[in-house]
Order: sequence, then C-alpha cells, then structure tokens
Amino acid sequence: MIVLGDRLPDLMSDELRRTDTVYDIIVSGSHLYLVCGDKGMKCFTISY
Amino acid sequence: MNGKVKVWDAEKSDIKYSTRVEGHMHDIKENGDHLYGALQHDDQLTVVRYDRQLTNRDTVVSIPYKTNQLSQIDVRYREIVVTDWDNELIKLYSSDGEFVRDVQLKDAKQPYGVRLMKDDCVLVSDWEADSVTKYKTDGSGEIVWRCDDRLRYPTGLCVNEWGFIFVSCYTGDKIYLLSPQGNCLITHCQLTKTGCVTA
Repeated sequence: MIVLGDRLPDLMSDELRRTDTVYDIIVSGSHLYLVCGDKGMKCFTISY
Repeated sequence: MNGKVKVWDAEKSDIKYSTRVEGHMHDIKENGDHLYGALQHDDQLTVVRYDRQLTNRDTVVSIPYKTNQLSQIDVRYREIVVTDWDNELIKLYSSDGEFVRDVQLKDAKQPYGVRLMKDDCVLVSDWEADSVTKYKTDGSGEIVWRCDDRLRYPTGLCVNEWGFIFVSCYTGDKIYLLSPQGNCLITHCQLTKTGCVTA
C-alpha cells in the first residue's frame, strides 16, 4: 500500500495553486515533489 | 532568458546552493557526485554538469535544438538520455558526452519525460499520445499505460526502488501511480492542500 498524504508547505513559494502547471515529479524518501518550473515545488508526504 | 539553479535542503526548506544560468534549464537529474542539467540557449540544448555545490560547471554535449518545447534528461551510471520532441527519438550519450546512438521511438508522437531503467530499457512519457511506454534500445516499445480520462499531457516520470511508476501531468491537479506491470493504482487523485489519497 502506498499512501500519498498531506500537502506540506511548498518549496520556494507558498502561493502555488492547484492548477499551476507541473513539469516533473520527484520521489525521495518520504516526500513527493511536483516541480512547477521557477514557481517552486509542491510537496507531499508519502508512505509505504 | 536568465534563470537560476538551486539546490534545496528539503528538510529545512532552505536553499543550500544557487547559481545563475543563461538560458532555460529544462531539467536536472543527479548522478553520483554530479548534477546534470538540460540547458536551452538560443538554438542549442546543452547538457551541463555541476558538482553538488554548484561551484563548477562543464559542458558535456551540445545538441542543435529547434523546438520551444521542453526536453527532459536522465542520467544513470555512465549513460545520459535526452528526449527529442521534434523527431520522436531519444539520444543516448556516455556520461562524458560521447554520442552513443539515436533511438527512433516507434509510434511515439511527442516524447517528453524519460527514465533509464535497470533492465536497459527506457521509460518515456508521451505528451501527445497520453501514454507511458517502455522502449527497448532498438526503438520497439510496449505501452505500459495509457491515460483514459480527461487528464492530458503526462510530463515527468519517477520510478521508486520497488518499480512503482509515478507520473505527473501538466495540468497539475493529478498524479498517477502505476504498478510495475502498468496497472493504474491511483486515477483521480485531487491534490488539494488537505487531500489524502490511498492506493
């Protein structure tokens, strides 16, 4: 089972909107990041 | 256009290192002691290599580049792969920039995200075809997954240590989680501030 959990504070900006475009995805340890270009990254927890 | 490359301390949400670049940095991947970036400037796409402190940069390879679309790279051990959106192919280089070969991707439309796999195959997301395909080095491919809902334009790919595939999408409000066999485990996950999704 993989659980995508709470959204954490964004990196670089806390103003990212849900509709901001996403260019890449990174999974590292217990975090998942959505790369939104130069606006920053949305960050989520992830657990297994 | 000028931009910046930044290395973040994710735990502290703080910038560790930063450097300016002239051009548009499309993608960055890590490999060992280095970071490899796909930097577009004018009509060239240059694969550049940094140390982890961003203090030194060298050019690995420069590629003529016509499109304004994004290209992703991946680096694994001693191999670099770059997607070529315009020509439906991937370009393979050694980590020192020596050209290895082009691989024409059969039935590809607009290859975007790319990941080198442990079995020497290459996983590619296709922006226009709304799919993720696993290609062999001869260019033959097997579709791992095709998007069948309203979501369009898959972008980045990530494969975890157990082979699960994470796919981001340009629209930004969903991700997909695929099993190693291509079964979609998460479909309509809405990534809200309080959202929680279980697969």
